[in-house]
Amino acid sequence: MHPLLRHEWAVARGEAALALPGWRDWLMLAVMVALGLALFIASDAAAALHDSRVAAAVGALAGWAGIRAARRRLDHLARESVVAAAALDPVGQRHGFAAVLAFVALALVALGALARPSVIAALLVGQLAGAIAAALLPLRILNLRPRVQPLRRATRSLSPADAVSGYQLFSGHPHWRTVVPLVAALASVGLALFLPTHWNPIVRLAVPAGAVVLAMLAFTRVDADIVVFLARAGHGAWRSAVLHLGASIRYAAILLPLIALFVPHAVWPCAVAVVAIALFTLLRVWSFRAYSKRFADMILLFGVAGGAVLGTSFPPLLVPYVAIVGFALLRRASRATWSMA
Amino acid sequence: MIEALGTATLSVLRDGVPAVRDISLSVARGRWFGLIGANGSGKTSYLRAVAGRLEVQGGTVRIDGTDCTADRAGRATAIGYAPDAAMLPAALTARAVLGIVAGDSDRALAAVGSIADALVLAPLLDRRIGACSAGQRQRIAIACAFAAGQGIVILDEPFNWLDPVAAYDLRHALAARVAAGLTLVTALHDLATLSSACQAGALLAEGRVALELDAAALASARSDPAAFEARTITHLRGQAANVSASTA
Repeated sequence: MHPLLRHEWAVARGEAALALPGWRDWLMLAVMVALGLALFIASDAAAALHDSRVAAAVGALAGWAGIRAARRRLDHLARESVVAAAALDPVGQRHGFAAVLAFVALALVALGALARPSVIAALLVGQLAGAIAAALLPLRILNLRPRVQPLRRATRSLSPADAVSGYQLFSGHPHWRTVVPLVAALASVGLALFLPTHWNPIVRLAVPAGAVVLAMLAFTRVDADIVVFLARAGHGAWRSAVLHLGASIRYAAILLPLIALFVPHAVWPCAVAVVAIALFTLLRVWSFRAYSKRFADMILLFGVAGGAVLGTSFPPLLVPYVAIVGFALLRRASRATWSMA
Repeated sequence: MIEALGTATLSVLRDGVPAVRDISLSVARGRWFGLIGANGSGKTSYLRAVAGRLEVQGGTVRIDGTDCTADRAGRATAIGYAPDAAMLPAALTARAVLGIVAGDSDRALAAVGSIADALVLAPLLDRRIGACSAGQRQRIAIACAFAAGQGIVILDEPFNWLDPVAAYDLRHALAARVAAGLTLVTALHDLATLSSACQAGALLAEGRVALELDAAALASARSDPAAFEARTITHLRGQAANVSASTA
């Protein structure tokens, strides 16, 4: 086996053994997966996949995400790992991409088999197209060429655009803490207020909600290293989450009353977007405290997929689902305070 | 002098910012070359770029006289490099990591040789890296640099985190390996090690070579360590003042 694959296989096995140390953990994972699959088969999502255009789009998205993730991982391994030479070796890279393509294809075949076997071809064609696009486009789309900057520029203070997490935005200059959420909230309200009245009512709800989603996502970026640092510095699970949510809370506190006052028909979609992303951020912060970044990302992926299936098939179950997942993560996240392990 | 490693007007960017600017250095085969400089002076970026762990922005890198600038994988293969100890995979044991580096853990341990004794590696081999202390991880990271048996090894501040006994033993084991033909390049903050163990060195400031130290300069440093320390500190202070003035 190529050293790159050997390394990745060993790391995956080691991480799995750490995260799921006993048979009870494996049993719980198996039950969760089985439950998720059963809900998926019964849901509208599986029915939507019967359309080969939807299946191709899902395949393209999976192909794109798989190759982008593989490229990022190779980039990281080439800089920081003991297998740097293997990660830079074209043969190793081909092995890595082939392994990711095979893994994603296997998952798509399983998905297609559960939804409707006739869409498997569309899923795989979509995957191939997505993978080719991801392989051809530069890894850092917004920074194609490294910018040569004078030293003075490099030593200037951090601005909101440089922040990699909501925590940094919250802990930055006092003006940003107030002015940035205020400007974003006024822009969101303005957008909702001045939409042409002859537009389709669904579009007039979706556009402001979409703007709120984008603003919330910008305010609630979570950096796993910062979360771990906060835990080691003695911040508890709730405090770490609140620090990450600071900017978004200010944004929501300004946005929602103004929306309710001036654009009342859009208040519910905007409120749902705010609550959903705030909850997701809360769970992300806790999962980064409780687990390694990669495993936390995997848990969140499964969790969000399960929540989406549940939300589309039987929405009232979402509340206990989020509560159970949140409670389990909170218990583990609380133990991380002060812990350097 | 037979050159093992050399750079000509090498430039490296870190996050779009020049970290290394036009560095030209030459390291003789079978010698220990020490790099010193203030924090952020470009030592790590320079060493990483030479070892293929970072892209080169400009200039050339030579290994055994061959221009390897465009061959990043070739540089990474030809040079043993100790990764950042904090980036070692926490879920694996040292034995597993060494086995991955060399293809087989027994072969890796044979290549590490006497360095393993200096690092007291044996009790760490079957312990999960995530359960090791910072100093123990540093020992494993150093062993990784030797596991594949390359003739050129780069260590970035290898004595960080090590206890005095381990640092002493490692210094002597490294010197013995250099005497046996290894070419070693280390970033250092310890002037005593630079003057007593290295055969050549350079002082970096603001990504540039501020001072080159040849064998004669280091021999003179060994004969009068206090004067050498005072001269170097004065030089470093002067460079720091220049950096402050240029960024003000």
